[in-house]
Amino acid sequence: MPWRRKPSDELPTLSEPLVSVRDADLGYGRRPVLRGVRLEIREGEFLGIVGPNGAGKSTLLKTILGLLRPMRGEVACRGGRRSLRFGYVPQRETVDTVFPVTALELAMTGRHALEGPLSWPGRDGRKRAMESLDRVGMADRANILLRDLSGGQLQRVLIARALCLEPRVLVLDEPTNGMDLESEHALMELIAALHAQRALTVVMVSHLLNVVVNYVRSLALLGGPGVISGPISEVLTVENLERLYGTKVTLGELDGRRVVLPCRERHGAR
Amino acid sequence: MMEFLQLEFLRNALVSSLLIGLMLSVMGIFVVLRRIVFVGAALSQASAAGIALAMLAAGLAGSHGSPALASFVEVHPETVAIASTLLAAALLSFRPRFVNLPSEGAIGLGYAFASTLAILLIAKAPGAEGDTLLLFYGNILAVKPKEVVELAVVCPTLLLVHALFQKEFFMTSFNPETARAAGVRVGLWSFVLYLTLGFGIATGIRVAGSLLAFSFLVVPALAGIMIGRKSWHVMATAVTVALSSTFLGIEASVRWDLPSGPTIVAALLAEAGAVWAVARFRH
Repeated sequence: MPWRRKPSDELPTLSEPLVSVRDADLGYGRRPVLRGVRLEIREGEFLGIVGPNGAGKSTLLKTILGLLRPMRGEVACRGGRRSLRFGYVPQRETVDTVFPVTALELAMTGRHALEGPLSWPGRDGRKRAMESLDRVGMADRANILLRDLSGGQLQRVLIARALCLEPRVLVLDEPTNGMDLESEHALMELIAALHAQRALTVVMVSHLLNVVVNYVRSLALLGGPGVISGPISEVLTVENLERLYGTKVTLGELDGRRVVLPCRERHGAR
Repeated sequence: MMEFLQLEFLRNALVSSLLIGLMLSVMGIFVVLRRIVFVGAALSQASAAGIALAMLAAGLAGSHGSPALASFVEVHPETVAIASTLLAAALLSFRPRFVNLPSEGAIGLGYAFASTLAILLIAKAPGAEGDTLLLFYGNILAVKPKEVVELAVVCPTLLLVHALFQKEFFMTSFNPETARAAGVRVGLWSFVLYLTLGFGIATGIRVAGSLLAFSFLVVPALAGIMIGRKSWHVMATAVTVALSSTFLGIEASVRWDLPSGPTIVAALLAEAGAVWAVARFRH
């Protein structure tokens, strides 16, 4: 059954962000990991959330997804959380590959989430799942077990499952972690294409700064007090990066691509 | 083969084992998938605690002038046992909301708590001995016709619930965070799953004993995972192993004069070993 807005709900405006994190303290139990977070995710945006390990990237992501409640402050979704469907692509290490599930079966679980209890996806659901696998270039691997897929292929299947949900926002947690250079590039090209083809809002968490800055339009830097966020041209500065990583950095271009490197002297002295 | 079917108590044992095996082998897939295999042990102790509570309550009610309550709990300790098992199942399913503990840790805690509670309660129950609780663990050869009828209602009912909500149970067991992010009510479906597990396991233990019930819950599902190439293969293999081991186990127990429950478990383990060998050979 489609979600219906209550008459009392405010009508959203196009300028209203899809998700607003307002002065929120985020963490687990009583231990805050991030304090005073302010962040907005707008429709059609490609946002990268970057920071060193332990900076609280996954905590922020889980809060945006509604898996964690903010300890203080507010996380508001346009039209209410139930109206905003997130296609979540978790870190692939969290997926159980011992249980024998094929790529198609996993993709179909995305359809299951769309349908209520006592209904089955049937042929249409299977067709949609195959279409999603096709969009990520995995249609020919539909009947392969997850445990027999490479890391890059498994990541694509997880994205296909999220697409099966027909999400408003695609949320990816460290999608290129542990991949070789070629697989990493191919996967990022795929994510960029999904964003461009249908103006799909994409939020991607990664600690791989050099990967993220070449694809996203907006950037949120985590690691210092609060979050620095905005268009990449404004956020990706030497000053912000040095504050984030606590070391001197060089920001340049190589073959038309942005490159961030730690300065040789400081790096060598460590 | 199967001459033992002429004996009523063995017919009852066979039909009961088949029903319990069918039910628990299907449920076991979710138990193994969620990595909560010791949920069977924890819920069996919750069931024992319920029986101990019933005995204590019967004694106290009798001595404090409530004969109606005393006679009810004395005659129907299994009602209290099922209630305590369902309560434990509910507490375990909502665990992530309360405390940040790994599933296995929470189940271990539940096991220790329920076991201790059962022993302490029975120690204070008038007329009960330390090993009284053992009387309430079932023996598959002592199944009464009335219990077979009960199983014939309970097992298909629980299987029907699993059939109707299979995709919800799978989604919330396989990757609960993704399901929650997609708007699926993971807490609700986990609760329903745990309730069916609690009811099924408590029933299985009461009729067949804890060893056989625990084995039906774990071994067939593991055999299915070893050889399955699709998720439905797991269920088909688990059910086949559970049912065929029941026939083999009872036949072997009659032929070689062995206790039926442990012989069925031996057959389950032997079949799981054979499945493992086939899976190894195939790869």
